[in-house]
Amino acid sequence: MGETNSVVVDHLVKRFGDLTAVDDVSFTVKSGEIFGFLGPNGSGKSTTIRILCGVIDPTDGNASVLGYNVRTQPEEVKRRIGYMSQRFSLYEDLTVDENLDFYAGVYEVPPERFAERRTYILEMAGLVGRENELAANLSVGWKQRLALGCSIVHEPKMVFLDEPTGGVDPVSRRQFWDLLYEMADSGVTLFVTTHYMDEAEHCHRLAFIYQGEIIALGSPAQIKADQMTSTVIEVDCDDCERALEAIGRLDDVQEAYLYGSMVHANVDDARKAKRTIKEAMGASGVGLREMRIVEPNLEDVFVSLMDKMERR
Amino acid sequence: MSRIFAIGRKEFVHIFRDPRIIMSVFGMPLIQLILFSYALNYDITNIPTAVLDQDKTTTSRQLVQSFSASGYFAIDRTLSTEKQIDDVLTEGADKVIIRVPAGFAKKIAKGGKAPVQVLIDGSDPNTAQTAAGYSAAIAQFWSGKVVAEAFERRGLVAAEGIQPIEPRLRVWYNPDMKSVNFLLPGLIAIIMMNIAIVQTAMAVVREKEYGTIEQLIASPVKRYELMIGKIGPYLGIAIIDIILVSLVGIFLFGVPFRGSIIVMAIASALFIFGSLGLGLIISTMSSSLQTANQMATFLSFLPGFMLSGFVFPIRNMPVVLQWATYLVPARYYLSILRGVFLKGTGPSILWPNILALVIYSTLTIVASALMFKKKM
Repeated sequence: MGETNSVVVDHLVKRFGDLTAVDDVSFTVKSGEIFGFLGPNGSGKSTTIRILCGVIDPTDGNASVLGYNVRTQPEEVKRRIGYMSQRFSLYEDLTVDENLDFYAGVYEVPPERFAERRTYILEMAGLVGRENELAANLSVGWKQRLALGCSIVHEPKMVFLDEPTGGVDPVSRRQFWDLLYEMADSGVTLFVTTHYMDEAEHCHRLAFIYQGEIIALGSPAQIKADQMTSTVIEVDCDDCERALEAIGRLDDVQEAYLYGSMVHANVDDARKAKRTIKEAMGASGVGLREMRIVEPNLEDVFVSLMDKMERR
Repeated sequence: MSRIFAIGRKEFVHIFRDPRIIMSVFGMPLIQLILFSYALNYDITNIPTAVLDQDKTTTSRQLVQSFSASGYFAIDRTLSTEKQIDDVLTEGADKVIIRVPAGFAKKIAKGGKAPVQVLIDGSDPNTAQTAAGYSAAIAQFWSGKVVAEAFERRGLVAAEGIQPIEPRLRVWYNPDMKSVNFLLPGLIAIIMMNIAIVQTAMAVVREKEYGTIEQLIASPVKRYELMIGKIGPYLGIAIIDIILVSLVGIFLFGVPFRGSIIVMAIASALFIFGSLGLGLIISTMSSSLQTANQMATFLSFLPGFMLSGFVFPIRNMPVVLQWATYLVPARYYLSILRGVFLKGTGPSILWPNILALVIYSTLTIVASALMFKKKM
């Protein structure tokens, strides 16, 4: 396929009354890539994905998916995409098989083809032998994989996943991402929204959306390189809460935040900042174990970006 | 086509896996039929009655006798003073008091008017109305007999062949005045409304509440496919229920069926389609099962129960409410059903009702098709 675009979003706007959920957003998704759509809750992720899947109409602007305009040819789009919504849209009172069967019927998968797909999906989701169990009785990880299976029963070339790993345990999340990689390898384009930063690292390309606007776009490495002009100092101490308070007040620190059991501080002048942090810790009586400069990860980038936006 | 089947099949699974829905579409109709047939009984006999006979003559005893012989009045108390009347009525044990004033027999013997007082406890209007009707009939019948006897005493009857006028109460179409005959057609309408309006509305709103509707909207399912697939199973169940309730009514309770099955089928189809349309309209307007249930009850059950003539006769309503009944589709369906079951009325008389149902179903189906958007 080469460098074709599966999704082209052009100055997309969606308003709900006075609220602008998506504010003049433009980006493209290349065929065959895993495109991560990142942002805090309420930033406009789901709204964008719903517009692209033809579930809601945009207020302004244009978007096309697989070459079809979502506004004028929504049915053409729907026929060709898979969509896994936030709430794993399974029918809980239907069995695993009945759920698959229903979506196969809705997407008009021919019976012979469905037999193959069914075997493939049951194996993929680890549901072999549980075909007759009610979806309600599956644990969250299985539900999630069954929901994915239902959304790809018709072998779409493009799949939209809206927070597919919400509320799922880390092991299942890992397994799920392995499935996504497999699909991407077979040439399926994936559009995934998430607010997990570690998941974002798995994506080929990312868009950060914040209050309806895209504030960064590119591969994870690119974004880190472009956006992270400041240095990240990791502070290991015995009372993070108090340390965070003390460090956050310093003029040399742009932004301080908890990172696991440590405090991260974004600073411009690392050497000067290290000194002032040490002093501040001494003054507030917090025991400092170690302090080091670390490679910024996506979470650092995102916090620093949001900080910039808020100060703007 | 395969999409409609996929949706219909899924809907059937929903129905048959949820005991509440099964109960609501199969259990309730039969329970209602049995309850209404036995409990909601308008057939009033053995009304507890007290007698104050101040005349104490053979004639007065004959009059009282004809009341008790009618079977409608059960005389269980004899009073001696007028003061007791008040007590008896307040106490509520007796619903009717027959007072024959002193001088009753004399007045009759003289050929004059002899008043008899019948006091009826009006706190139960249904019984009161029936009691009033029966006592008027008995009094009339009795006075006829008195007149005849007076003639006889003067030797006139045999010679002239004059027969005393004997009023006979004849109730047409439902000669035994069996309530079940009257209620069954209404019950069919109520059941249809439950299935078609309430269950259909819930079936769509359930998808909204569980979030599955979003998945359907994002799928290539067409609007009409979703509509037909959703209402199809309920249409089938509604038809099965009509047949079931009718058969139970006819064979178990002996309700007559005098008219044409075709007329009934056409009217039922129109009414069901109209109701399914209304159910879909409600589903588009409500976002939770609770709202849908309330709206459906308010728009279908209440008017269907109160204003269709099912329980309360329309011509006994205040004029404004009588006008309002013209907006209640169940009214027309009920008229057709009663006509078909009890009178054997044909389309030549029932056509205005059929026309009303045509308008109802066309309006709701068109409106629901316009309102049922495949967008969120």
